[in-house]
Amino acid sequence: MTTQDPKFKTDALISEDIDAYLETHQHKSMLRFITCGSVDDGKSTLIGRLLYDSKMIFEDQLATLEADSKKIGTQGQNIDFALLVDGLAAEREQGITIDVAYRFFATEKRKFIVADTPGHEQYTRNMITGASTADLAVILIDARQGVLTQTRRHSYLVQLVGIEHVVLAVNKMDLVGYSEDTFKQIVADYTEFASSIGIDSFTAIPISGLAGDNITQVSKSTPWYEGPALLDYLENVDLVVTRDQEKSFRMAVQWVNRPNLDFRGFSGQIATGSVKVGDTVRVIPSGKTSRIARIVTMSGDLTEAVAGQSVTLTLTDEIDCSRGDVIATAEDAPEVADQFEATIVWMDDEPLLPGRSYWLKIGTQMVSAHVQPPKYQVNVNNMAHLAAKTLELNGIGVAEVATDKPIVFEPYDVNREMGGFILIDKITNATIAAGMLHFSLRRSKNVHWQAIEVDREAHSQLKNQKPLVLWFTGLSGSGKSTIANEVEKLLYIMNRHTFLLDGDNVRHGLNRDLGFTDADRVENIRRIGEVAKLMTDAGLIVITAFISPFRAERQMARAMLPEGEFVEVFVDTPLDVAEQRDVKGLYKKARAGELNNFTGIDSPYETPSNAEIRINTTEMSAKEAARYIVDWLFNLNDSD
Amino acid sequence: MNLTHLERLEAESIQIMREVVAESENPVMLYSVGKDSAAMLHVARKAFFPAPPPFPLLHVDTTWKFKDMYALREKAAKDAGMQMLVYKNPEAVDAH
Amino acid sequence: MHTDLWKTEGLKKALDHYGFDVALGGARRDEEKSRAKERVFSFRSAKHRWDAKNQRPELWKLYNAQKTKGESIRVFPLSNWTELDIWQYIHLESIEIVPLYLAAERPTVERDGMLIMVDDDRFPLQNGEIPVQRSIRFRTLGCYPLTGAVESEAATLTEVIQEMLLTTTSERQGRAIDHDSAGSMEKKKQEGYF
Ligand SMILES: Nc1nc2c(ncn2[C@@H]2O[C@H](COP(=O)(O)OP(=O)(O)OP(=O)(O)O)[C@@H](O)[C@H]2O)c(=O)[nH]1
Ligand SMILES: [Mg+2]
Repeated sequence: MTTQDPKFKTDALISEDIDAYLETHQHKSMLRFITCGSVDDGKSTLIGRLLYDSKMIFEDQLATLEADSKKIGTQGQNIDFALLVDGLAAEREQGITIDVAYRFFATEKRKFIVADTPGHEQYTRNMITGASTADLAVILIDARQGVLTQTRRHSYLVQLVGIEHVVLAVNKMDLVGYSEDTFKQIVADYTEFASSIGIDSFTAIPISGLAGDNITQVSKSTPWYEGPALLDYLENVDLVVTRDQEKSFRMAVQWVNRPNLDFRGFSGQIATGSVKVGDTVRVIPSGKTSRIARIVTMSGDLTEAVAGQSVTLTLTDEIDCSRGDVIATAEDAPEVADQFEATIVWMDDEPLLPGRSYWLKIGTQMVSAHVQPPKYQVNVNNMAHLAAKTLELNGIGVAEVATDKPIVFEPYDVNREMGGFILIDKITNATIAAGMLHFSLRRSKNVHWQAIEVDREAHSQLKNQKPLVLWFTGLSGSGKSTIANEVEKLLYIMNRHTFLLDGDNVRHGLNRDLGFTDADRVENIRRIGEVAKLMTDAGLIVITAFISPFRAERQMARAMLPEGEFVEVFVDTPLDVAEQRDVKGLYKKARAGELNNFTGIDSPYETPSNAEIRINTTEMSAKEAARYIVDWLFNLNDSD
Repeated sequence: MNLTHLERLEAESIQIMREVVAESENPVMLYSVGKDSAAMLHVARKAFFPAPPPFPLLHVDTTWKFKDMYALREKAAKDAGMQMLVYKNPEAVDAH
Repeated sequence: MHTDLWKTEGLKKALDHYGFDVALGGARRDEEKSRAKERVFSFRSAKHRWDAKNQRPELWKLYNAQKTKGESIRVFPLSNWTELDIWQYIHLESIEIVPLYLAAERPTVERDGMLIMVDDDRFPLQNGEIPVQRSIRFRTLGCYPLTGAVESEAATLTEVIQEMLLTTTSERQGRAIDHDSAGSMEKKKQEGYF
């Protein structure tokens, strides 16, 4: 056994004051995490090492491990830590992980449940199983291999299920001579990929699971590394355990407790929020309201209960309520709908059959549902959206889902328990897909109880259009305003609700206080971006026509809007052509030194590299350009 | 309000047991008289309180148990208001 | 090994006899490395077999309880509890347990390196064996007389917890039937063992 590390159980306290020990142990926080990443990156070895170092391995188990290592291990005469975790015969024979293993350990600060997940693509469904309940993911990379397809797939899944914290463990540093350059290169590669999928921050640690570097203690082999050892990080990462309690109250009814005629209780586990005796609640989908009479538990009635607790509620009125219903705060109850957009991860060998009826289980509701042909499938290597007619094993895509009766739900982003679902095959009974609801496509007609929330969605539904910003950029005199005007006219004829923002209505009002210095130009664009965003919230199609010369500011405006709602239109007119046109005589003045900071003359124009649309005005008239842009928009909307 | 570790584990186990009752036709709880069975039975009582757990207990009895264990087996079922089924040998199954 | 086989067979017969479709069991993932791999809702074929390599995905708290006639599901609500959690819960909730878990003076004989309690006259003493009073307790209660006792002074629950925390061997070591090779639990489970 290794020498005792002070992070782990303190035998002194246990023998001297067991009650004190138990008391602190009770109140330790708990972190659930997973290891994931590509095949053979060393996930199981790392967990084996953590268990070993945290003294979770008993003498008899250690003896078995040593014997097994010699017999079937991958490390010659040395200990193969993966054998501590790979518990199935097939796994040990093949030296791979097939299914997720749940292991438990504790330090002085925290308790841990770790799910060691398999790297093989074939077993992705088992990786998701582990990921769905984790607070943190340790994504391993073999330092010799760098970022691989499975690294990307797992990272994307981690992001989809909403795991909050990500550790990038660059493993097998012993095999690359503990090279700082290798580490940095991998971190740089990963950073680029991570930001493309929405993982904004992660902690990178160079480790060797086999040799034990930077696992429980900072290693001397990586003097250039200044961050914490992995375990240190795991012990100290912030966990906001009370966040769910601060949301609105929701509890899905699991079971109606009816031991006799005098008692009718509704049993469930509180998903979010808290509930007090006397609170007014609404039962969804019926919409009936009542008040909480009692919160019943075997150890006596409670006055209040919070998210995470399993309770039995009784109400002051005899109202209809059964399994599948949701009891919620009366003033802020969840939505009911029967058509949704969702991200779907396919987990079965039989591909998705659009239109076929499957069971959909969400919370305590189970209904028949069918899936439309996917809007697109995601290529996990570059996040490109691919056209797809179906989803095959391990395919991830976005599709519309329709249920045969309305269900109570919330977007997965808002509430995991009310937005995460599984699909079950009605014939084989297999769990074939996992899904995350984005939003409802239309409110169910047969429910009238809820005052419609007038949100972004409602505004755009009323206008029957998808809001977006058409952001024109180009040199002065390139033709932005002319084309933008034509586009607005065309859209108006098509009954679209639009608004054009340009120099005339912005420079003279909202931005009257701004000049043409670089700083003012930035602020100008920021304000326009914010206004455009508010207008899309109101459901409008916004057209802006400003030079907007800097790439960074256009990027800033893009980032203010949901993905897909910012369409950059680069009006590409060469400087000499624009200068020749010089409709307003501005180039002349600038050349004469009467105008400072004039784009193209003494201030730069940064050409867009990722504009959705590029218009070459030397090849098209303004009207042709407008037609082209509108066609582009409608093709976009048709395809999704 | 911070739930303790055991409060959270208990809540999770209760949720699981209620799912079982809601989604199965004829559930049973295996009872071995050991400490894990004792804890599990206790959680079950909490899950369905004030009703008794809506399933019977089943003890597969090798008849090679300690005397103390038989005594507790009868008492635990009685306290919980549950039926204790004892399966003794392939021929005889009796209810206590 | 025979009691174990018997237990598996007995269990399967009992479940079939009553037509139980779901059986709740108290197994924990921290007990053994193939248990660590098992789902909370563990699907069993009509022959009660566990297909370890082909378990249903299990996401969030959504359990798939669908099955066809004859098939069944074993459910483990204590999957995520550790041995320490169980003891502490028993302590905090004052749950009654078999007194054999607590140390007391009991008649014992030593056989094949195991301490065996002489419970009653069902126990056949071998030649030359004379029961000796020792302060013993059981870390696990398997089948009499196969379960070995440990010498201990831990007569209260907290003392038991203390002893457990300071121990260096795993819980099941006292059980003769569990002294078999790696992977045997998985095999037993495949055949329908709990
Ligand atoms: N040199 C060296 N070898 C390692 C290290 N970590 C793991 N290995 C070896 O890499 C191989 C794969 O390790 P595993 O732990 O089984 O990898 P895994 O990521 O769990 O693999 P799957 O679960 O099958 O995807 C084994 O031979 C390990 O001994 C390390 O830090 N250094
Ligand atoms: Mg592995």
